[in-house]
Amino acid sequence: MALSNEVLLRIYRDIIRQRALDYQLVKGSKSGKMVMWHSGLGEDAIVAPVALLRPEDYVTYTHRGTYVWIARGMSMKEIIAEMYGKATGAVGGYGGTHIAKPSLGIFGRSGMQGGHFPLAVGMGISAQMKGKGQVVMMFFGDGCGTKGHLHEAFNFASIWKLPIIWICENNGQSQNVKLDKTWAIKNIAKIAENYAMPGKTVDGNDVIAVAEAANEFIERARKGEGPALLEMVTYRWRGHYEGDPMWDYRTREELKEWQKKDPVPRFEKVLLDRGLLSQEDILKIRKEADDEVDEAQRFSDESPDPNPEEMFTKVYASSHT
Amino acid sequence: MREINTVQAIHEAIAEEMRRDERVYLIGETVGPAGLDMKPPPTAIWQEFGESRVRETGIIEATLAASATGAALTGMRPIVDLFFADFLFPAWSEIYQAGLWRAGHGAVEDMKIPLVYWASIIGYGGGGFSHSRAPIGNVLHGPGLKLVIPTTPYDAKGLLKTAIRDDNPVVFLVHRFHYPVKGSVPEEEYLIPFGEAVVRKEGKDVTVVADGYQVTLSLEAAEDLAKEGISVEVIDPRTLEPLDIDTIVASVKKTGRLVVVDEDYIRCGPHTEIAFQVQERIFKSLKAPVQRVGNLNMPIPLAKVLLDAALPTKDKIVAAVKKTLA
Repeated sequence: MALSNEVLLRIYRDIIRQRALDYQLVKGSKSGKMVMWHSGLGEDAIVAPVALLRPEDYVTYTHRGTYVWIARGMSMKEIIAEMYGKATGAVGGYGGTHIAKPSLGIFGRSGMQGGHFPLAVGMGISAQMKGKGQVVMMFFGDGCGTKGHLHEAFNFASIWKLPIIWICENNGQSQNVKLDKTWAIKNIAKIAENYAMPGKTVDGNDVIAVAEAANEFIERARKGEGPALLEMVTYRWRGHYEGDPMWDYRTREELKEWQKKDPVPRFEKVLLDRGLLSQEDILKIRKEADDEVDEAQRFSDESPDPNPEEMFTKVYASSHT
Repeated sequence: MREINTVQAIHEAIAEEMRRDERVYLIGETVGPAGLDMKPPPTAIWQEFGESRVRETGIIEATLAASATGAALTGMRPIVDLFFADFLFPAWSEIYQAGLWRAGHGAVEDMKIPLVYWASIIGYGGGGFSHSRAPIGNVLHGPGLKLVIPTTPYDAKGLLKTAIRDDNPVVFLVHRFHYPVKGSVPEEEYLIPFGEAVVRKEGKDVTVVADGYQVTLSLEAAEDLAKEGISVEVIDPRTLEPLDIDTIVASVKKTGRLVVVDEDYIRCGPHTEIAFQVQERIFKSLKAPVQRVGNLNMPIPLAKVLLDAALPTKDKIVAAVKKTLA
């Protein structure tokens, strides 16, 4: 199924918005008032598969979460305020990068790498039992892809044909350790055949290729044909976290090479060539994103801290069925 | 009133709740047609509800635990049979996180994680260091988990129904010795709220607080002590989180002496927590230091003579009671 122009433009706008947001949070990390920030700059094409989901679908995200948060419709205000631990933050200052917004199909983030493999299985069981054609999109990095949880989850999701799209953000880097030291094989999507599901590797910086591959797997899952694995080969421009000694484990040449493959100008070229955007539109969208970021930062700066007296009310839900 | 055993009571609770609410489902390693001799399989449940709502799995503890969290977050109400209580540990990161999840995400949009982790304590069976534990202290230590330990068929059914309807993660532990024991269970529906202890035996000299199979041993000890003219009050909290500390405190105010009996390791176990909470409230009412009876601080051994030395026994409970009177 071809991707509509409307979807492509929405993906573009959200890529620009989440990139502006990420830059702002990279800068803000120097203030010492923010949570530890894991920048996703360079991997922005991850917005694309998320944008293809329906509102009722479920999605899990990694510690580089802006793609999912923005593409699902969260506001920059609540995101920035949360990173600064404010009461107006998405989760009231309790979670930092552990954001949840159940009404947008975002249910939180595990503190343990690999925790989302089995979590997604549960969401898949839920979707399957409800029978409304919902799908689950689960993002993981090559880093936590080495966790045993992957095996349990991939295996059982395939046995039960759960509607899950497993997407690997393979940026070749598990914190400070490179792929050749963490994976015995070179091509992560290849493991899909061990779990009786299709697997595909795409250029993770080619927005169209990523969107088309994801779309195929989404449609398949919706029809009840089971899970699939999509590997996006990409690269992160910043360290694992802001402040990490990234030049100890990689070279400036390597970064420059990957920045030449920046997903944004490549996608802009496609949209310009197809007549979906003009140069003026591009400037306008970027300015709007920057204005949105500035407004959100002001909102966060002016927001109050959370109230410790409310803390204990957050632990248990009051029971009623 | 009819008499059924603890397994039957548990299966009835599960079946009734699954009929009542289509979001409830059962998942685990021994929930299919084949089961274990100590714990007959829920065959009738499987036959009534089918494979979609009774999911038998392979050996995937972490996935059993965390898939329950994912399903619960998205509107389902899973019951996970983790089989042996020791297997809480391969699932531990996920179980522990289930307790942390709601507050860890600011309880945004009043998120709920309604699930039950059911497991069986396989103590006193020669299961050795990894197939015998009562990991009660571990569960109690993590915020956000509720902990239920029924000791009769009546309590098992009523508490499990409450656990299934509770919108929070509940750990439901049953000792294997209690599974075949019969007890009166009404035909009519009933629920037992959490946080309500039961005085199993009234007494005036010493309070014994015990959970799980230790309630049975404590009652046996109380019988022996009665012959020596020592009147023991045995309290079964039934739920350790929430804990009915008020009933325990009222009893110790009366007797002035407390022994806590629990099958977990005594170091940093529930004994310590309960003892602290009591002395924190009514220190001046205590006539003697609190005693604790539990598994000694060592891995559970295998041979019977070693087990008798490590685990709580009726005689050790008797000795502890007498120590408070010395």
